[in-house]
Amino acid sequence: MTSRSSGTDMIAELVLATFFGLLLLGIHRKIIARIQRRPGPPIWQEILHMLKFSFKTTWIPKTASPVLFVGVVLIAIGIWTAAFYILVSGGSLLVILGIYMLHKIVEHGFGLSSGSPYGKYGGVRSVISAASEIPLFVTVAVIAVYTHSLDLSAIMQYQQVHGPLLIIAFPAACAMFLVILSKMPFGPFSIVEAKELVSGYKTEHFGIWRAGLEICNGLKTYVLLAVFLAVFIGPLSLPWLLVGMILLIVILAFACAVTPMMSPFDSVTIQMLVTALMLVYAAIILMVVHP
Amino acid sequence: MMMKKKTVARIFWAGAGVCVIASVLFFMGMIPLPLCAALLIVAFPVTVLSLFFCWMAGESGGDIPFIGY
Repeated sequence: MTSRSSGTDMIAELVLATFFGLLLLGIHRKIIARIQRRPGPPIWQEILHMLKFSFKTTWIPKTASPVLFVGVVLIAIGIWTAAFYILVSGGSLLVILGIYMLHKIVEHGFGLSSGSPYGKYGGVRSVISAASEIPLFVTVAVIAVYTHSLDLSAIMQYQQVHGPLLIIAFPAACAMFLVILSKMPFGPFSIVEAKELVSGYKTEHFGIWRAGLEICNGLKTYVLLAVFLAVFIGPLSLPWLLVGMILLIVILAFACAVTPMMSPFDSVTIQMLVTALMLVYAAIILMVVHP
Repeated sequence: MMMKKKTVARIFWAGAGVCVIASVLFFMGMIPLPLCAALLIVAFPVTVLSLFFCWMAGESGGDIPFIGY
């Protein structure tokens, strides 16, 4: 990934990743709709959505904290731009996961900055849903036990020699898949986007602010899926990376389409249960790999 | 916080300039990847939002964004 990024335009890659991420979200919506026997929107709907919002009237509510209200949009795009460059440079997995956690704070900031009760509830739920990140830590620990490194480039090199971690550490891959599932729209763990909260933390962020948030979502989707493939499949050429991401989003869409959205309590309970199972698995791996 | 369309256009060109210059300097090997990435991380969000503001705002309109209800 490093050589590819150094040989091509940095901005072009970033823009293409954003649009491809939005396209993936469109495919996700389309598949869910077809499974539920609805025609669904075209797959480029999320791109149109982003462009549509960019032309809408934009305002800052009087109840909002203006600096936080605007600043949080810039931060949201900025942190996933950072995650994208860490990914293409084969940097530390730990930093990407740190950004992943930071996104929770950003969601919280979105909710609190507007002064809207729906936004605030959405922000609170995004904090509750941070429970979904705990299996991530165990996943990272298991990867470190095998590869002795948390650099993406080192993890990919390990897989070139020993084969994909998807096979070697399948439960860890399942846990990370669950984490990504919790971040997908219309999923069983999408408690942040429950309908009773209107649009949750983004209720008041309309117009250009929402278009910025859509860009953030596109980049986030691209980065999360690419990180999953890099960590559990290994180094892939660009065409195979894109094919892998499409396959992954199809699987995620199936999981989202056939499972109802859980209540916040159930969602957290299941995530904690997965964490407990992963801890047992990590302990076993630690005893087997490093007796 | 409120701006005119002309101000937003200036911010856009400044942001886009930083993005392009950082990218070109990195391509020519004059700056390392972390510095290029740091510049893009700061400039890219500003460029995108100011571009949106630029094409959304009318020439004759008032201040943007509108401080609402």
